[in-house]
Amino acid sequence: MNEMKPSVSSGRKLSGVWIIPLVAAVIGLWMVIHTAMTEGPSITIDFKTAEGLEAGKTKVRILSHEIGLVEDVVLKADVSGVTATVKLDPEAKPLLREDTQFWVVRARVGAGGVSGLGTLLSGAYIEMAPGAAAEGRKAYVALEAPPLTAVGAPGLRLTLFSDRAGSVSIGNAVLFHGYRVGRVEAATFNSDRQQVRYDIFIDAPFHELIHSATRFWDISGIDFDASATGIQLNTGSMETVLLGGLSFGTPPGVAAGEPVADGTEFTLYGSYNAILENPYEYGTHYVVSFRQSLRGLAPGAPVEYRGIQVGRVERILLKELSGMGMGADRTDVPIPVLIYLEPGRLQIPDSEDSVSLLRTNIEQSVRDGMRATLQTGNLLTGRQLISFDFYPEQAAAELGQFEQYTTVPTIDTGLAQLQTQVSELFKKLNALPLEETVAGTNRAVAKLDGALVSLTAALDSANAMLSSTDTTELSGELVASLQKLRVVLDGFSQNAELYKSLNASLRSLDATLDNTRNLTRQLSDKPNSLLLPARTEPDPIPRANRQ
Amino acid sequence: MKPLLAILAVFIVGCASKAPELTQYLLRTDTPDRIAEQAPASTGIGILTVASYIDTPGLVLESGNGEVHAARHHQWADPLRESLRSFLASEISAATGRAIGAYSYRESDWKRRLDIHIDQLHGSVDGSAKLVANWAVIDATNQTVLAEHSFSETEPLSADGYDALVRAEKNLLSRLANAIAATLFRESGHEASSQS
Repeated sequence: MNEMKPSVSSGRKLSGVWIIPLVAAVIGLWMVIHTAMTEGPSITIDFKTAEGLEAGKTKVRILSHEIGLVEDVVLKADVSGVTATVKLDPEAKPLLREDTQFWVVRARVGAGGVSGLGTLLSGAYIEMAPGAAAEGRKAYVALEAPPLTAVGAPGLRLTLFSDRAGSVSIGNAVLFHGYRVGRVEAATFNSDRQQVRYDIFIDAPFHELIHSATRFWDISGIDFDASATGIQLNTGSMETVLLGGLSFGTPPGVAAGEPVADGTEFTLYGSYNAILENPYEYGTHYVVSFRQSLRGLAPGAPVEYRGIQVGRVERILLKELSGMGMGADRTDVPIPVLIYLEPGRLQIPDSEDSVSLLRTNIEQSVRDGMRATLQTGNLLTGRQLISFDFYPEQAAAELGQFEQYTTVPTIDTGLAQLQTQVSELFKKLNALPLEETVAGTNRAVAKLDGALVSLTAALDSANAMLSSTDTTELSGELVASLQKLRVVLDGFSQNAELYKSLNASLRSLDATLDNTRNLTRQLSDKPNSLLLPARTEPDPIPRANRQ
Repeated sequence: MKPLLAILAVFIVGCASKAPELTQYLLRTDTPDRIAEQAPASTGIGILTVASYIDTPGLVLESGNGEVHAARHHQWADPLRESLRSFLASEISAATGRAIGAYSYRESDWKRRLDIHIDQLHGSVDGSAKLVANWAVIDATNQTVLAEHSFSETEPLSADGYDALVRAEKNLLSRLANAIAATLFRESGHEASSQS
């Protein structure tokens, strides 16, 4: 039988109307995703101050092209600065790297020049310098000043260390032979090394000039140097004189080294002279001790061997000396001076082997009579230097030891030596037995009296001899000679022609002098009387006595 | 050109202006020269000096308070230190009757020497001439001073003018010569001419 069976269904069927919210949801989701996909990144930048920053107005630019806007500026909780929230265009997203830099461009006036004048009218903006490192950073710290070197600029970034800050500052030029090839990017004090650290950047292609033997020196201002060798004046360009700067080069006679990598450390020398004095890498320390005055012996003073510089004075070891307590006899303690000898200065290779060779040589030379002396290098400035030379008369000596240093024996020379000699002479004079000598002399004089008595007797004998016939003949000749002499002298007597002629001449001279005296008197009365007529005042007339 | 001529003319006129005439006086003795015939002098004038203020050509006039004026236009013809030698020698010689050497040509023959210094010889405003002198008689052999004398006298001027002054000074010098002559041979007992 064919029964009618009811078709049973749940009766619940999805209504077509639901498609609408579904589509809306899809669209919404798509919109969210699209927005998220197409919206530019939002980042935060920390600034020290909010000067020039304004939410909704301050723009972010790259190469003067606008890529974003400051959305919000909030004060940090610890009031150490402000944090700006910046909305960037999507195109800027790939530029946001780890090393991307931001800074505020505003009008700046400094020693290096004037910049950002345009912002006086348009208002400050944030400049962005894209980086090259990994992407993904969202929070940045702004630079205080525009970076001196663009990120990724070709060149070489080096680190210099100097014992003193000098006048080198950020932005100063780095010169090579006077031409600007780079700049100082940062100057900080490194407390670990107790030195000033300078970060410098050498632009390509000049970075190829830098190698391991390159030396850097300060050419700021005017370098005035009065040393044992004389007086010297060095200046760089006008910019470096006024603002400061660095220069680099290779010391004369030093071969070029290996190329260097980014971040290599160099020493910054105070002057070119300092480099000339320290062009060598290897050297050795010695100590020389002097009893004479060390006035004028400054650190850096030359150490010479027969006039050729072989090293320099490092310092006077007063601290070490005081640490030793000076011993019992404080008056005769020599003062130790630390010197640094460099074998490279003797035209032998600048290496460790040469240092060993030098030490061996010095040891042998001291046995042969080599000594160190203190000498005056410049009489004008009184600078002193230490000189090595051979003194064969000196007794053989050996090298000594002071603290960790080897000592070379010394002798006094020059004034000190003279002083010692004079002092010894006086000592000897004092020691002379003068009183005994005088007493002896008195005795000798007494004996002389006796001798004189004998002499008188001898003279009596001589008189007797002179009165003998032979001697009388001799006096006859003497009389004849005297007569001849008289004849000659008669020529000068008052009646002689010569005398009369002379007398006449003298009278003539006397008359001339009289006239001259009158003329002198007249000229003295009236200096112009030779040119102008003489005064015609009449003489006063003597009057007869009427009384 | 004209100014130049004018200046030249001024100079020529200036040069042409008349200067007072110069009158010179000789100091000569009025005694006749008889001595030349006599024997060589045994006495002579040795050192003769005059004070600086009269060692000048002009005759000197004292105008009071020590102020003196050497005349420009009335002068001795010879320097006084020269003419005085011969004047005094002649006068002394005339007074003593012996030869007196004026110059030291034959000084080696002298036994005595006279050293004379004229200290003052000038006219004064009070109308007189004044002469102050001193002399020494010296033994020429032993070079010892035998005697020293001085002379100081004045003579009134007989008239105005330098002629009268010269005359008065000559009179004074003659009296000085007489005074010297009186002392000359007295010391050693020689006969001396009588002079007041």
